[in-house]
Amino acid sequence: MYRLTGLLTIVVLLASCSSEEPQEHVQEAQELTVYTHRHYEADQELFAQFEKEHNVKLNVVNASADELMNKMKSEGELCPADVLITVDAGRLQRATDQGLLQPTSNPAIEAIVPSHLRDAQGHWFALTKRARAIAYNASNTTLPEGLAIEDLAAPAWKGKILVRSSENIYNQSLLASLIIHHGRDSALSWAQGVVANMAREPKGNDRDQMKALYAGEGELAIVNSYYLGKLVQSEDSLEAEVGKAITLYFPNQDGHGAHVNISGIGVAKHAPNAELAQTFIAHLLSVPSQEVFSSANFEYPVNSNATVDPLLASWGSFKEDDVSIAALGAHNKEAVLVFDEAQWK
Amino acid sequence: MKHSGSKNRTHVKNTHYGWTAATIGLLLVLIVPVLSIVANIWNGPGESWDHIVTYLLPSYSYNTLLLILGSGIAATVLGVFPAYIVSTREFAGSKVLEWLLVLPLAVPNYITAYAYAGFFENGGSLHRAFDIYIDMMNTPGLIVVLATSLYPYVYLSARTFFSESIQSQLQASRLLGYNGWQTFRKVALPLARPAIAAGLLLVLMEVVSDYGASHYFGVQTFSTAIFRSWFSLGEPQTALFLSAILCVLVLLLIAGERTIRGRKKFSFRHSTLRTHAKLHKGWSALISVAVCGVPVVAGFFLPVGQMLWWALTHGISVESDLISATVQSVLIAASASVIAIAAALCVVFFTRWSANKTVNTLSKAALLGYSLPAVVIAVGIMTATIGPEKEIVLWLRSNGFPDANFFINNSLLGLLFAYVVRFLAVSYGPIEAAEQRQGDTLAKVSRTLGYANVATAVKVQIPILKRSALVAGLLVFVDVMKELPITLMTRPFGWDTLAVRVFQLTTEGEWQRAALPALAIVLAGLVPVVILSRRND
Amino acid sequence: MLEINAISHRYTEEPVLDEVSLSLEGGRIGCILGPSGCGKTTLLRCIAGFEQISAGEIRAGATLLSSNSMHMSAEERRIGMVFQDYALLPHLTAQQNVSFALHRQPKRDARLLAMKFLKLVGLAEFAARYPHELSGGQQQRVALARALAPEPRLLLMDEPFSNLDASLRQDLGQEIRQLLTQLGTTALVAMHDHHDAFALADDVGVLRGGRMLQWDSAYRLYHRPADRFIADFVGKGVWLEGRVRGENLVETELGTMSGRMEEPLTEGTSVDVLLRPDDVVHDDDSLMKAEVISKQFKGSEFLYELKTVSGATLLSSVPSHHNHPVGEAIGIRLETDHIVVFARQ
Repeated sequence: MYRLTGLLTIVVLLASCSSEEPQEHVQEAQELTVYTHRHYEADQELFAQFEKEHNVKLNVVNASADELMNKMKSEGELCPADVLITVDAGRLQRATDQGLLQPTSNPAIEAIVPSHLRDAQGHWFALTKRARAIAYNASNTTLPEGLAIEDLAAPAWKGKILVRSSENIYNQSLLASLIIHHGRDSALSWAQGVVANMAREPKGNDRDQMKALYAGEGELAIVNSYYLGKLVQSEDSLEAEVGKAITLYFPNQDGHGAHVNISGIGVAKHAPNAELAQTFIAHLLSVPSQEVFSSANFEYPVNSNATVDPLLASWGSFKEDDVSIAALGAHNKEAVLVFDEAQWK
Repeated sequence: MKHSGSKNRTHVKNTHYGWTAATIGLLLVLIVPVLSIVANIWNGPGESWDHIVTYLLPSYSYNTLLLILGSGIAATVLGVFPAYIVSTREFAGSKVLEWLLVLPLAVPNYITAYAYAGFFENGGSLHRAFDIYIDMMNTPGLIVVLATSLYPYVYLSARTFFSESIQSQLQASRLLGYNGWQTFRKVALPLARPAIAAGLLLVLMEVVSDYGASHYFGVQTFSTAIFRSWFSLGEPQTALFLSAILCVLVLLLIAGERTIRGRKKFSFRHSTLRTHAKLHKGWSALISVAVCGVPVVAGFFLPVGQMLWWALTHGISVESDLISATVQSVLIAASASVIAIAAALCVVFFTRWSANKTVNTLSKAALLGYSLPAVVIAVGIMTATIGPEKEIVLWLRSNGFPDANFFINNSLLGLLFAYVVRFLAVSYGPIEAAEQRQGDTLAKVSRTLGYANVATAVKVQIPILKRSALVAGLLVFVDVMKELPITLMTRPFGWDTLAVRVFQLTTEGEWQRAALPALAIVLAGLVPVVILSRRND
Repeated sequence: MLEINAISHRYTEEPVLDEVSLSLEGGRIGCILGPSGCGKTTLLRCIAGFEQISAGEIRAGATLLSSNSMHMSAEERRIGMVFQDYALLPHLTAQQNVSFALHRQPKRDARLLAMKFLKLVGLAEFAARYPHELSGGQQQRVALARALAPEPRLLLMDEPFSNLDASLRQDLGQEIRQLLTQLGTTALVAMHDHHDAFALADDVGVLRGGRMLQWDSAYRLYHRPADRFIADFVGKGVWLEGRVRGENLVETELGTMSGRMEEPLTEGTSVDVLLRPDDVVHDDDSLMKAEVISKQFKGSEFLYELKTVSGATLLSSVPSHHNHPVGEAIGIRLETDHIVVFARQ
């Protein structure tokens, strides 16, 4: 056993040496380091494509945005990261505030991303959109016309609402939008109202909310749109069944529009390869890439020329809340505090 | 050690200072990440502190307390009764159950949590088969998950004690007319308290540091408060302050265990002659099988079965990246084990040679890493090392090495260092215990024969500790295989372990696809776990 | 009282006990003598009820304890045992350890009885001490008191002297013998030293490789061993070649010896004769001389190793006032009541 572990150590050391070797060889060639919170198969596909098309080696570091930001901060000017990808605007805004991102001015990118979906100075850009919508089971529930997310705080919904924990960034982003629209106090009473209306304690992810909905634990669930797509396409027959039974409802169509959160990207402050980083961003925003995001991950493309996946299209088009994403980021922390005050787990 | 000659004494004292310095140096390296966190007590919390104290801490601390009590009691029950039964009774399947009971060690908490949710919850396997479901994703459910996956620590410690230390006491009690249950209450339990406490300490440290399972179940614990203030509120300052408080809490737990252990020091002769009296049959055997079988089923077969079912519905196909992830996981875990053994040996021997009480107490601080949420450790290491490392790299770059780069952070070195900091407690435990058992007679003999400290250790003591070191290494191996947060954060480019793959798939709810790598973790962990339980026989 | 009838015990295929029989009358002290690994501990454990037997019977008086189809559990046997490691409970005082055995009595009676037994073993003033505060000999006595207190029908002792030093053994052996006789306790003791065994036991058996070679009174075992192994095992001695010269007569190089023989052998048979050190008596007047090769001072006597003129080596124990230097020839005489002879193979 000793000899074996000793041998293994040597092998590890050798392996680690050899894994560094190719890096030295391609030093002349291009190298790009991506810090990303996204861990979807679709991304890996797009990354591989980029490597091939541009003869670049991608180093991908996968962890939560907060961990990545902490890493960037500690590494400072030696940070190898070229870009940071998150699944929310709040983190990108925080990274901007902490000076971890650099402004980018690239007309091609700016032409694709609408101004409310990017930072004014170009610190970050949205890659995809997800709608925070209401899921319900049309076979036994009808939702009133013109339902707004604000209405869910009304006593009429007592014991009927399924929603995940406030730790989740999509909920934080939603509440941030309500703070922007109505101010802190009414956002707080909304959150308190929803807590009082919850069918059960928040637990699990958005998929779990829809499964509980299907099982009749509640009448409606607040979920992100792309989770429904994943359910419909699930290999698990029961999940697929849940997916088929559930209908998506986009709230606030008569008012400010349904809340939309984004997944976005920014160029790192000390990016060794800032120019290549822009090429990379452009690659991810290109029509084919955007269509991959849409078809493989059921996200709404940011590039208006990209075709929306048929499944997404079948849910209908809707009016988006066009509150500035940057403002959402700025109000994120406040949203967390309000959630805690409302005792939203 | 007592020395009579004053000349001799001065000489020895000098050596002591040397070893004291060496111990402190080694400890500093090992506890720097923890220290860099504890130091934050003096920095105070960030601006949201009042908010956290008002809205989060009361309920989060309450939940943590419930978890400590609940899983502590449950793990003790699940561990101690089977340990007693397998060390005192023979019944059909007792030999097999004896080592099956250790298996849950190979299943990570977070996988057990996923599997329990997937089995009991609405839409889960139970629901599909019998149209009933049980709410698992709450505090009682989490207690069940933590207790069933962690009880083997108590079981192992209690079983070793029952079957190797007090066999003759147990038999004497039977001869004096006490039946099995009376013997358990009057002899086994009172004597085994320290052994149980030692196992329980490991359980509680894991409970306190758990994040994956409680996060998924939506139970908010002290760890949640750390993550929430850091990630959701963006206040690392507050998070570190809370971690520091957690360190203090764990120190209290350790102190509690020490008082239980230290009050009366019994030494037992090694007596392993078990009874082979009666093959229990009928009800008596059935009860034994049930008491020993429930933990095994709950902690191993249920989660593994659920994973298997998921894997089968997904269709088992072994892809090359699964193989490479397995190979990488095993390589990393094996190297970490070797280093952790070496570190533990150094701490144990340096401490002994320094023969300094304060240093001895201080050395326990090196065990704190096990109780902190792993992410905090990863950050602690980064905070502590990156400053100096940056200076070195910059200096190198301006002095003829333009390609110089980080060599601790983002490298295998850093990853292995983080594992050792985290799991030192695991390797230290068995080695220290064995060293204590060994006593210093042999060392004294060897020194009278003219061998110095180091030579004595290398030639005499370490060879004797070989078995315990192997046990320690295997435990670390299993833990590293299961480890997630540190790996996620500090692994170098291209090193995707199995745990990382499971995480990536489960965060998006892809249970079916995560099942195969999860099973691979269990499988790789099973090998050492089985060796461990065999070795004890 | 104790009847063991051809019992066998096996863990695997190799039997640990092979058709062992013995019988011990009430009030007598028996001893199982044998080298380590001979099966004596296993025999005790079978009697105590810790091991099951595969054949034969164990009875205590009229009560059947074990057979191949029946096994009374240990706690029902009313058998006391003193374990080799004493098995005291370290968290209880000496008195509590003894009271522990008296759980069928009311608490107060148990305390008084415990004191009585501690007094019997001479430990009254140590009643409040914990085991680790007692010496090895004292722990041994506590263990004895605990085993005797419930008035067992049979007392088993496993290597009672193995952890004690020699000076202590002699005294303790005598004390235990007195105590057991006084209480009328039937006891069976496992030992490996024949001195201890003869000092303590009425009946002695020699166990080798799981077989009982001889079960007999101590006297007969010493003087009429059933085979060479026993003869060697139960005491020192040398073997001389000889030839049978009629009933109770054997001719050796030292002359013709007379004495009772166990089995009559036909005249002319080549035999080995055992001469114990006490068979060879020092006599200055004797014509037979032997040279002192070496000597061991044993206090009251010397053990001389002697060489006869014909070259044979003898052992002789001689009162220690006869101090002869090595090399001196001294007079010896044979004094044999019994002749232990075995036909030469």
